[in-house]
Amino acid sequence: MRLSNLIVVILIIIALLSPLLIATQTYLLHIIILILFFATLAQSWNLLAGYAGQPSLGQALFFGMGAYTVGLLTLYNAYFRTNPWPALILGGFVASLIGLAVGAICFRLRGPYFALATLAATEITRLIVLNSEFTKGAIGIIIPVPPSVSTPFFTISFYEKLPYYYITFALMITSFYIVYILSKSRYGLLMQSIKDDEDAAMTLGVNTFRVKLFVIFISSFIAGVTGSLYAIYIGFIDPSMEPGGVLTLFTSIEPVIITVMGGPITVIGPLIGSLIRVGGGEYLRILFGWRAGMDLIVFGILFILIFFLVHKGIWGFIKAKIKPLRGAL
Amino acid sequence: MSTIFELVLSNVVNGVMIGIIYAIIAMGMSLIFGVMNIKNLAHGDFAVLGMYTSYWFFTLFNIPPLLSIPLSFVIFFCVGVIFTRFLFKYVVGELLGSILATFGLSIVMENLMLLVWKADFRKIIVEYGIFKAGPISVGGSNLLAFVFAVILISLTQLFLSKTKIGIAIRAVSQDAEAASSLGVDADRIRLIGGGLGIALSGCGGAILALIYHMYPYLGIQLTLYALIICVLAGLGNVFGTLFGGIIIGIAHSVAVIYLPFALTPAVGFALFVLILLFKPKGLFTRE
Repeated sequence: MRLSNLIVVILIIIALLSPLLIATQTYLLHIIILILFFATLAQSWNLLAGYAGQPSLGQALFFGMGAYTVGLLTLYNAYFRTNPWPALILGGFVASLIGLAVGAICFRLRGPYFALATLAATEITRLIVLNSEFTKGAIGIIIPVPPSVSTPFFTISFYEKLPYYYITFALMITSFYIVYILSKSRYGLLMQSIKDDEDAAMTLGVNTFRVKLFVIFISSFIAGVTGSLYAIYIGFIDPSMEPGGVLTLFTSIEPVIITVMGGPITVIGPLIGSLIRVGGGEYLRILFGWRAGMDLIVFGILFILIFFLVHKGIWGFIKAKIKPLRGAL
Repeated sequence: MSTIFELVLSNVVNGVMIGIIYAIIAMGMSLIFGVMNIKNLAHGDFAVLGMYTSYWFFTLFNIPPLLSIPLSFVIFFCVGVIFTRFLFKYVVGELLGSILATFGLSIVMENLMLLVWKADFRKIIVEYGIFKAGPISVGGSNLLAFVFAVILISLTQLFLSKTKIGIAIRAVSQDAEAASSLGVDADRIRLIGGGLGIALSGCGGAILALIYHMYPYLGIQLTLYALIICVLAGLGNVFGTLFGGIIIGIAHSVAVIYLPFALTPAVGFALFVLILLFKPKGLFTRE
């Protein structure tokens, strides 16, 4: 077994066991769960924008559609109130259908034009959801807590944080694994060829449109499932309250910031970025929370500083430092 | 029939008036994008700062908003030069870096404004009467804002097309390396271009303050409009933004007649996507 694989396995085992030690510290566990959520969302952006070079600003659309699928199903269908878990997958599929539709329209555009078109699609959806009776508009939807699941040995109560930790963790690991496999596969090369020079890739016979549709399908599926799970976990969704509204511009930019900070086009980057953005942001709130907005001012300055220190994201920085060490060994 | 026609006509006029102010802000963004290849995500926050500057001049020193418009241009030109020298200069041409740095700046500015002015909605309350011409009626402050906007845009156009520095700015926007090889000091031009871009944003904000209320979170919305207008015009096309702004403005104000007010921005965005489908690189870019 290679050293790097061993490290990953050990880290996963630690991640699986350590929450049992802090099961009573709900606040800490909540922050960790949020870190996992945003790492997954950022990974979906990393796949689409980092690997395939399509700078989407519509990740909130997929996230929000997943969340609203769960919200509407539990609101209008009694079955999903007793068992919301199938809605996770449905949310993913709804999001990826929307993703395909957005892709079919917006993939004719390149670079910033594509980014702004996806952003416009998100804003249109947000305004419609905000003003529709069917989606409960600005009031939002309350999602009931899923009933406990009994097994012969123990009962899983969803009033506690621990089950959510494991579900979110599983989701994150799966999405990271998917992105890892894709980046190593034939599709990794196809995506890179599109990112580097789409016209050249086309002349070489790559069906770039189909590849891009495939990538946005996977990316929006991941974002959609994340949104669905987020809706179940938080228990309340609304389109545009700042912060936390699932369809806001902020939700679209968050994965961008996290990925860019952590290190784009690396599999582990989004997790590191999320650790700093969510974990660090929460820590600053404890330190500077005595005045509204003070922690965000400090965070914004940190943001700019991080850019000046490390141009390729934090993971890129660490990698560049590790490389000469490896050579010496 | 005729009343609907009058309503539409009157709303189109109002749409042009608000659109031209969006266009000023977008013009600043387009300039900055041109000379430095940066998408300035804090651009709308500078406009909101311009609104608050005008507000403070009015409430603290009793300076009328009409005087604070030229004043804010001068102030924000200096602000722009400072920010260009100490921040924007370091992210020239870097897509991700500029997003990170300017978004950080946007968060800082938004929350500083929240700290200073709180989250209340504020408005400069001055009455300039109502102006009527046939079926169209326009608020006096709208008309004044329009006049100032037209003057500002014409001056900018004159500056960019007639003066030596303006031509140099356009040259750097087209090809910075070629321009510097012909003896243009690109760094100095970037300082002036950056200053002018932020000045347009701040001054546009001061004009907007005549007709619109202000609150710290308005910035992101204005940034969004400015981005949309820039892209609609074709990135880096400074004069195209004028038409982009007017299109968005008219779309918003005509949609008000048929849709609930909260839904009107959606029409602007839908129009934007629709236009891009037919002109994938913006309205005024040659293929």
